[in-house]
Amino acid sequence: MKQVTCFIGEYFPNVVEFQGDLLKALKETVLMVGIAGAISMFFGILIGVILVVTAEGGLYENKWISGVAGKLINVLRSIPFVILVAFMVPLTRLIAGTSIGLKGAIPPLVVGIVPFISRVIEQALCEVDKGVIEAARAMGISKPYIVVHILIREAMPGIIRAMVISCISLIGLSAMAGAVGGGGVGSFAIRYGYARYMVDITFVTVLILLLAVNLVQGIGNKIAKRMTH
Amino acid sequence: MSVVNPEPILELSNLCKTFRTKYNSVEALKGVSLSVNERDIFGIIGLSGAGKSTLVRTINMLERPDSGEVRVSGREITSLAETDLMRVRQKIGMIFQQFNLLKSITVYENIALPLRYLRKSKAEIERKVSDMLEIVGLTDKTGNYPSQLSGGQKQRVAIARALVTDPKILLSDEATSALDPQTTDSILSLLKELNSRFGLTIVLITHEVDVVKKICSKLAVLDKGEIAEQGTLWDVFANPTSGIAKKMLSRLFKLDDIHCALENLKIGKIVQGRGLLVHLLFKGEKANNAYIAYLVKNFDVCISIIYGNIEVIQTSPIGSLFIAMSGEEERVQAALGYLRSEGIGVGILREWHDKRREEIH
Ligand SMILES: Nc1ncnc2c1ncn2[C@@H]1O[C@H](COP(=O)(O)OP(=O)(O)O)[C@@H](O)[C@H]1O
Ligand SMILES: [Mg+2]
Repeated sequence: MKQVTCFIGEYFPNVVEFQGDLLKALKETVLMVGIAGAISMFFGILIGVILVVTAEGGLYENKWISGVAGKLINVLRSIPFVILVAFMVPLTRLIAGTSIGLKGAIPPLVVGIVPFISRVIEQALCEVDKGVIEAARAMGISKPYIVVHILIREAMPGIIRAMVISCISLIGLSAMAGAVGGGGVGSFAIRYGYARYMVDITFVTVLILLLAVNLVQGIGNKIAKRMTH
Repeated sequence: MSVVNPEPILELSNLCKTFRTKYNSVEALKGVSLSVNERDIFGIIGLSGAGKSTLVRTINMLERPDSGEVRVSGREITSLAETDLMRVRQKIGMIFQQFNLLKSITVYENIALPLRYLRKSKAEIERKVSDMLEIVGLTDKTGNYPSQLSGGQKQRVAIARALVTDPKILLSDEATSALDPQTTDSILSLLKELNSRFGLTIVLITHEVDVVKKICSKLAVLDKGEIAEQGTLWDVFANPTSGIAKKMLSRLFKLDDIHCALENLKIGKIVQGRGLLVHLLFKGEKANNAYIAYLVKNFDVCISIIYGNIEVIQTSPIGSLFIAMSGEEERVQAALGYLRSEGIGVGILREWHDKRREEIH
């Protein structure tokens, strides 16, 4: 144990010195990803469902809604995230009361990730057999019930996988949000690792992000697998 | 044999449907009318693209026709609002070629789905689902997922799911087309059993004449969005008028092969240059009568039996017999007239007159 402490002290001096800040940054990242993730999942699933049901041949076929939603998503997806953060500052202030720190990071993260999530969820929902929907309609089941109990349920493994990729993307975005004033491990790495040339801090941050991504991927795969029959 | 005008449970009149896409428009239904009585197993046969699926989907309004009427138990449904339609659909079961089961839930839950939607009590769901599992013979698969079942078993689950709400009508759109012949037979016997045990009316779409032959009591032949002919199975099989029905019949009796074989026989010689090659179709118990002996004895014609076989349509046999007949012109005609008056299908394939051989058919 002592040797390990020694080793860390020797090679990662700054990490040891700023371990309090690191822990705080970690907590912020988890919170940022958790809160932004939960909010974006909600909107992502909602918009994904809207995209699928309003598409041609869908349960609520509507060219107008599907066209507008599709275009809006494409526009939002084409804006680089750093620019989106800057662009959103007034809106962020309005929603979160501040444009910096944990709170200030959440609105741009949500706006940045929702278009992406919507698309991956849309894809997952598209994979549901049209015949199953047709059979349900033939049984006289209502459209809202079909959406909730059949469309979403049948797409669940795909939705879980979509959530995993989205979560990983979100971790990446959260680090970027951190870099422009949002807090979390991103801002930690920038403040110490980049601005003060503390290479060990950059290294540990990368390691942490790597572990986090793998953890999310592993858990997600396991859940998706258990749901696939 | 047929019941006198029972109330039709299903009446389609003058259904038209045109699909318009950006590039073209397809007239899928061009004024289709037909009526299905209670307890019928009504076959609709046609080539791929004939409009069969479109037609069957208008019966439960999955496809709204452009014009025409659909009456279910006397009630016109094309003008109903969605919520009323849902109630109508709950009384019409439907099964499909691709089974369309939910992958994510078990056999039990698949069958329970319509009942859960209708918020039936847990006890009722359990009772109904196990009844259905019993009927379709899958009591040992309750907890399995669809991916663990064979095609035939999947279709049984689909049938159980379609019938768990006690509908009076079952629509089957190519339900056996993805199955091998043995499995097809077992599914067809199940449908037949459901028909005789519970009085289920079945509308069965298929492109296979064998399927129709095995279980249908009535038949409509759909060709390019129009009914080419319809009637009892016998009506259509014994006296096909449309080209497509004739083709079906010849497929059933493998007539093409037989014609080929007959080409090689010197039948002209058999009838000594003067007579007929006749194809006879005997229906039901008529297949048992000794017509040939009777003809020879009473009409003084000469008959050679060339080829014969029997197909069982529903439960009664249809005999197909090729004979060469010769004799005095009037006697031959009288003999043929007699056969026709007995309700026997008479098709004259060839005629040989004195000296000159003339092909009629
Ligand atoms: N939703 C649709 N849009 C455009 N054309 C269609 C659609 N559904 C069916 N059709 C066309 O209508 C015709 C009949 O189709 P269908 O009823 O599926 O025939 P069948 O079931 O007898 O094979 C075909 O030419 C098909 O291409
Ligand atoms: Mg079809």
